[in-house]
Amino acid sequence: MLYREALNKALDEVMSADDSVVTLGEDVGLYGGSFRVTEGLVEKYGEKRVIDTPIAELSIVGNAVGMAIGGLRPVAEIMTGNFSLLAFDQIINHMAKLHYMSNGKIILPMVVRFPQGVSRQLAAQHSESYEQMLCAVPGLRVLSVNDVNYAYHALKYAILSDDPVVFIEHELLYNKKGEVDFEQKLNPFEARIAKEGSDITIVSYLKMVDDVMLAVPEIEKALGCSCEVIDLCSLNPVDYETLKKSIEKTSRLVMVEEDHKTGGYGGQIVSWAAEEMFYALDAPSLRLAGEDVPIPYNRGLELASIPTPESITRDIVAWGKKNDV
Amino acid sequence: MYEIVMPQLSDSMDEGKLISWKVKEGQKVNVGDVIAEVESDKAIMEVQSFKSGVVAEIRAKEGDVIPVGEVIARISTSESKNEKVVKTPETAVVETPVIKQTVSKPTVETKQEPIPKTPVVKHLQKKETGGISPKARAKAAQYGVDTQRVLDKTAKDALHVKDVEAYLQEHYFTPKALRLLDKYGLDFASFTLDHKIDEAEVQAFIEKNETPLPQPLSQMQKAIIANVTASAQKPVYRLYEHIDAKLFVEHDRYSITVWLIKILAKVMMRHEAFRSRLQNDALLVSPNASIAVAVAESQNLYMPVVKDANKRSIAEIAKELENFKTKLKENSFTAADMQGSSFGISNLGMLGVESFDAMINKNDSGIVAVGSLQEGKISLTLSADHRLVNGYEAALFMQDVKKEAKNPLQFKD
Repeated sequence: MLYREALNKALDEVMSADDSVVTLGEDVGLYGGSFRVTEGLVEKYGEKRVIDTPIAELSIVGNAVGMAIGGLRPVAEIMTGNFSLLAFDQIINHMAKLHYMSNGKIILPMVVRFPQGVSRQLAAQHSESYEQMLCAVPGLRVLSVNDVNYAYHALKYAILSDDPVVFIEHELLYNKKGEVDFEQKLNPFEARIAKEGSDITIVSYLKMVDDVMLAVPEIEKALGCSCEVIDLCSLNPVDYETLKKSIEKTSRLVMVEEDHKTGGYGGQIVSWAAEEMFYALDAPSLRLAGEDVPIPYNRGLELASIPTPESITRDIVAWGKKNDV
Repeated sequence: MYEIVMPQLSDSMDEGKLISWKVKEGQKVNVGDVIAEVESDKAIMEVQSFKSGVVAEIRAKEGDVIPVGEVIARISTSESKNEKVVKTPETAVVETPVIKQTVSKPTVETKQEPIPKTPVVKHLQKKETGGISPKARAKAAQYGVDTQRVLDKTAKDALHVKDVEAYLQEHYFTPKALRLLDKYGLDFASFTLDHKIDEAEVQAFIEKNETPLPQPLSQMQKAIIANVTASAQKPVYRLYEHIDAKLFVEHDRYSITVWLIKILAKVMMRHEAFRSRLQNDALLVSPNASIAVAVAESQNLYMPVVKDANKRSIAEIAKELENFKTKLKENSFTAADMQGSSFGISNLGMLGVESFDAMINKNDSGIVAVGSLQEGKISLTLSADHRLVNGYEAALFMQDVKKEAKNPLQFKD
């Protein structure tokens, strides 16, 4: 099953089981979604539950907030994360806070989902990542989807949860293939150990997990060690338990993310390790992230601005040699 | 010699007017003394001397307009020890004297104390090379290790856990004790580290705790483990039969195994499924019957193959088995000796085992396990791979084997 098919199946199942679930966004209906996630849903559930909206992100999320207050379970699709900026007032000031500000009287069982990140030559304004901003807002659950099985289970969970969830996908993952275990009881807040290992804990999320996995065989060969790869899955809250166990075992932490390094999300993981895991660390933690530049259009420069399997290998090997791994 | 130049008092100033001299040639000046007043395009300011000395030369007259950076006076500092202190190159630009507004008193102390460079820098460098990872520091603290000693010893930029562990091992264990630790894969942390531990103490620990000695697996053992593990994953079922042993006993010039190989080969020619094997998702059917025979000596077990057994005489088969035994003793089996089978035989009957079942060799269709002679009968257990042979075929095969075992023609040379 493909990543986008897993998302589609999750939406389809929840919509068929619960009449209060609706989805809205630009082109989600007749066109089937820009990345085909909502394909076939309007034929099944009609235009009242699969709602094509104008190009107005603030109103998409604003309407979803209203629907959620009114008792529906809306799933708002923003075509890409880049456009979610226009809806940030609704996301941050309303979606995240109304439950708190109403003393729990208002619940917001809603999901805002969008893909983000560096795709192929979409240039600076269409290659953004916003997890660092969203995770800084108390009241939001932020899930990031790398794995196909996780996509299916986590989206179902997000829709059926009474908490507001921002569900982050990645543009280059929609055609990723994977198995879905439909019987599994998956906890969406549990980090996924993509590969077990004993000497270095490499933490990542979204597409970078796959790039790390491509780099790992070379790293292990060059350093003569074994790497544990952890896909965070949930960015807020974070499964620190899994990270803790891993770092206690390996005593080394590497954080790999696609977004710009300064103020990037990975800083949270590394600073947590400095606070809580200090005496377990046998080397300074390493952060690999995008360069602090707007993402260039030129393909060569674009790849130079973010971690790639090659640069991940190079940087971790150099760090490992320097720190006696 | 120290040169005083026309200072640049603002960004837009290219030249300045010398208003008045406060010193004369031959006069002594100290650091911070005002020596002249100059006028920029904006204000009149004082020019101070950075150094003590004697005014050697005054180059400009009062009222002169002088370009920025040009020398207006020279001060001889040869009698002053301070000359050595400031090592900055004596260029006009760098030596620009400190300027003060005429109105205000000098507020910035311009005296430059000699910087005690060497000791400070050395100290810092030593600290920099003394990095210790938090985990290594915690470990060192746990065992009371002086990390500075380890640092000095290893001459490393930073210590990691393995450096502290290496130090502990070396410090608390004799080389022979360490070799013993290594041999038994023991953790040094199992010992109380407050004295030098020798081989005898480690040996005593090993015996007290009954520590097993880990042995590396030989290539042979690894190959056997891989074969047997693969075999255990096959869909195997078993058929239990007895054959009449009368003719085997009568014709004991050859062993039961030799006769059975001949009988099995003959029956295999009638049952194609037993001449087949699975290889890389393909079903391969051999035109002849080649049988793997389990031969063992001491710890080693091999499955050499009697090739084309259907075409061989009983004497040839017997000779081949003798040949295998020689090779086993000489440890001279080759890969070619072990290939080409589609069925197998294993006989533990000669050791008195009544009946048992055997593991199928590699990709073979099945194997027959031969038990001991009991009351005129011999037990045969057929293990078959269900992917290659179904139960009905297996039953027919065993029926034929039973029939041939009672066929006197079969036991002629």
